[in-house]
Order: sequence, then C-alpha cells, then structure tokens
Amino acid sequence: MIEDTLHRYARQDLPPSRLQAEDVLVEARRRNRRRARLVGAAAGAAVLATFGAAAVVRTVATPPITAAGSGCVVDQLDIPAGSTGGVVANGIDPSGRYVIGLAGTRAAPQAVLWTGGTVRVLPGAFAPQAVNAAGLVVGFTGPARVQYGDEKQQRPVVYDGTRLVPLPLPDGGLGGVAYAVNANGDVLGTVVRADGSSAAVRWRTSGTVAIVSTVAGASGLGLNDDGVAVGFGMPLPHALRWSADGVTTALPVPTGADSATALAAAGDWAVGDAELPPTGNKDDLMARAAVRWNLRTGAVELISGIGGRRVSASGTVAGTTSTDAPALWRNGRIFALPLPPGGTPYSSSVSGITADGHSLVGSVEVSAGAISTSGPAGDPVASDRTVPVVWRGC
Amino acid sequence: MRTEQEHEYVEYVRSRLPSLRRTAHLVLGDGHRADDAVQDALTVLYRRWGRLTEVASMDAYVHTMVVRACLAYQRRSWSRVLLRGDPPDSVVESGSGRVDDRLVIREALGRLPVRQRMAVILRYLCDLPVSDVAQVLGCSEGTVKSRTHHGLRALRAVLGERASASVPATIAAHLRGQA
Repeated sequence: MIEDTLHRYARQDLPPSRLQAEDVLVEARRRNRRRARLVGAAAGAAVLATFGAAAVVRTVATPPITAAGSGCVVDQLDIPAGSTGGVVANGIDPSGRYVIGLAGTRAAPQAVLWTGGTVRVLPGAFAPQAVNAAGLVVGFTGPARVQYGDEKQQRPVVYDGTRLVPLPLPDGGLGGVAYAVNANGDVLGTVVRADGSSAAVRWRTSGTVAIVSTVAGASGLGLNDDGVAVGFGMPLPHALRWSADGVTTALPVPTGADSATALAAAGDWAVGDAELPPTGNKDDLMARAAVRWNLRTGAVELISGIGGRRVSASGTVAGTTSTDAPALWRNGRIFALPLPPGGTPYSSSVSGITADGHSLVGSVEVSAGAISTSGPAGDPVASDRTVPVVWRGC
Repeated sequence: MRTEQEHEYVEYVRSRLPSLRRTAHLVLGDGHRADDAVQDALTVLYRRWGRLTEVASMDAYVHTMVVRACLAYQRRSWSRVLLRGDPPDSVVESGSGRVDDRLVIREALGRLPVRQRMAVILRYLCDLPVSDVAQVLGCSEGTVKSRTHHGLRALRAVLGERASASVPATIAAHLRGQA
C-alpha cells in the first residue's frame, strides 16, 4: 500500500543537527531582548511616520506603553517563616482582601495566604489557584506544577478556611485541577480521564460534579459570578464559553488574530491570549496580544502589546508585555506597572486583579538571571530570586 | 520568564527536539529549514510558556505549532523556491538501497499541488488524525479527506509510472501488491 511506503519514508534517518535545547533558549531570549529594544524605539518611529509620505500600515496597532501613575505602588509581600526558595503570588480575591501564593518544592508545594498584613502557610500541602471574596481557596494536591497538561497526577481540592476538602472526580476521571471559584462558591476546573482525554468540569456548592465539556483537549479556566465558564480546546487553541445551563459556544477569534485562548473571566468579561499571524519578521514571534470578550454582548476586541492573563469585573486586562514586564490595559492604553528595587523587567508574571481593576498581584525576579541549564537546588517552585508582589492604586 | 520556568522550558525542549525536528523535516524536506522552523515554533512556545503549557495537551499543541511554523516558512520562502527551483534534498549516502526510495518519494510529493501535499504529509507522514490536520490547515475534515484521497491517487500514478521504468524494488512491490 502507498500508505505503508509513506510511513516507511517518514521513519527515515534524519540528517544530524546542531540545534540544541540550550541554543533554542538562547535564541528565544535574544529575540525577546531584541524586541524590547525595538518596542522602546517604536514611539519615535510612529512620530516620524506621520511626517512621511507613506506611513506603514499595521494590521494591529499597538498602543504606546506608558508608566502607571504615581499612585500605583508596588510592595513585596512577606515571605512565610521557614520557607526556602522563592515564593510566587497566584491570585487575589475580587475585594482585594485575600492574596494566595505558592512556596515549597514542586514535589511538596505549600499554599500561602496573605490577609490583613499577615502571612501564613495553609495546611495540607496544596497548590492554590484562585480565591473568592469569602476566602474560599481552590487548587490541587500533588506535584506543584501541572506537567505539560498531565493533570492526572493532581487532585482538585477546596480549602474552606479551616480544612482541605477533596473535590469529587466525575466517572472515569483520574485526576484534575480546580482553576476558578466564583462568589457563590461554585468551582471550575479540568479533569483528565482514563482514556487520556480531558474535560472541563464544574463543581457546585451543592456537592455535585458535572462535566461541562469534552471537546478535544478541553480546559476549564475561568468562571464569573453568573456561572458563565470559559476555557479552550486543543490542539489548535480555540476559546470556548460554557453557559450556566451547559451550552457550549465558541468565542470568536478577533479580526487580525489567528487563534485565541480564554484564560479568565470576571463580571461581563473574559480574557485570553491571541496568536497573531506570522509577519515574516522573526522578532515579531515574541509579540503578545490579548483578546477581551464581552460575555453579555458577544463583542470581541484584540489588544496588541500585552498578554491577557486576568481581567477585572470593570474590564481592566492584566498581563505581561511582549518583554515579560508586568502591565495592565485600560480604555485603550497600556500602563507598565512599577518594579520593586532590583526587579528585572524580563521575568515577571501577573496572576491576579481585583474587581475594580486597581490592585494586582504577581511575581518578579529581583536580579538578572544567567541562562540556567540545571534546575535550582531542591527543585523549589520558584528560584530564590523570585518575590511575590502586590500593586495597589493602579 | 522566571529562572525555574526557563529550566523547565529547556528540559521540555531537550526531550521533544528529535520528534519536532522529524515533523519539520517531513513537512519541509530540508534539514536546515526544518531547524529554522523548529526554532521559530519554540520561540513562540517560550513566549507562551506558563498558563497554556500548564493546562493544555502540550505535545499536540507544540507539534501543531511546528507544522504551522513550517507552513509560514514555506509561504515566506515561496518566491525564493521558485527562483532557485526545488529545495535541496538532504544529503544521503549513495550505495544504500534506501537513497533512491527517498528521492523518488520526495520528488513525487513535490509534484503534488501544495494543498494536497500538505494534507498527505500531515496525515500520512506526521500521522496526525484527520481532525488535527483540518485544524492545522484551517479547512473542514471533509476537505482533508478529499485532498488526501486525491493526493494518494496522484502519488500512486506518479510512482506507478516510475515502476515501469526504474522504481526501486520495494516500491514496485507495494504497487504490485495493490494492483
């Protein structure tokens, strides 16, 4: 059969390659840094273009990035006593009262809770993913990092303020992760099933568990207070929306983007990352863009220059810029968030935003990192240069 | 990207590099261009390392990115390919019976219209399910099936022509077996 001939051809020996994993990292970093310089120069270029006869027309305009106002301040969060390695902040509740984080090692994670100026490690060795205004924390036990989408090693849990309670797995579920919790205490997450497929899953406060969606590669990530859930399917990422009564609809890809993922939801809004079509310029591979959907009206918009990691109920988008600097987008403008003393601009994450959009949490590295080819000693969840931070008044 | 994330990234890239290079090589038919396309895809992965890589079916996603980087690479270099003729095949040792097989098949694939060629390569060389091929190429599953059907038929015709002349014994045997 011709198919067999083709299969044999596909198994041919490959010519040797000089491409090594470390070189791939060095090149990705180089393009990242190069892009940082280009972005820095872009404001000047835009001014020149208005005087030129033939201005370059871009399909997606990137708003200029300006520093957030002086009212926006950054503070390092306290590190829990006895903690080794770095600590990352994983989320903030919509009211801004609770901040959750992760410390410890990948094999034995520790959940950290900051509230009212104090920090403590929660019992039960779990990795928190979200917290609501009542202080209900959801996450998972098992290895702290979901290894390449392999959620079967994790078990979804909820911490109710006093104890850690396992969430039930649906029939056929091997493991899973709880990623979001809303004001009612309903929880959304992802479960891996025995046949290797994944499903988006909703746990209700009534104690029931229901599979929301089993589209290929489904991951359930965001949940608003009305019970509307968002996430995406694979292998070509496509954003999905699940209504409170279980109807699945595709969230549209905005004009100018190739594909989009939905990562979070709050109020009327959902947000995610957009993949832009290749431009032919390799440095553009590092360009980030966010997508914001209005879950009530169905409107979609593409926001170039910032990744869409979180959204506030007021519609502010939180994420990092194309050079991994922490930032927010509001009303068409991108604002760079301040870094703590010694903070490096290339290694930040933003992981939470309050309902009003003015307080955010994330993590920043406080000294320039060399290229690491061996893991940090003891395999901590973050290197000891990583500090959790909160931004307020932004 | 934070230090420990870079470490995870390098770990992942090291473990998957051989299979990603194979995919790119099958799509592009050229080792150097394959390495470039893999680097492009892994640069995008570097940017997206984090939430997406934590929660999704990583391997399927990364293979899809490599294929798409190859397609983008192919579109970009199209004018250059037209100018200089067919892309060079990889150097193979002469004297081994498999050399001719490879060149014959690569040439036969090269004679297919580009859309049919991509459908056949992704479906039968990269072993992707029809649904994944449809997503990667941005067309319906029915279109994928029709393109692979016509592509395979054309391949049989091309390889069959050569079977009567100087096709390697292995391919000729397969073609005879099918008759």
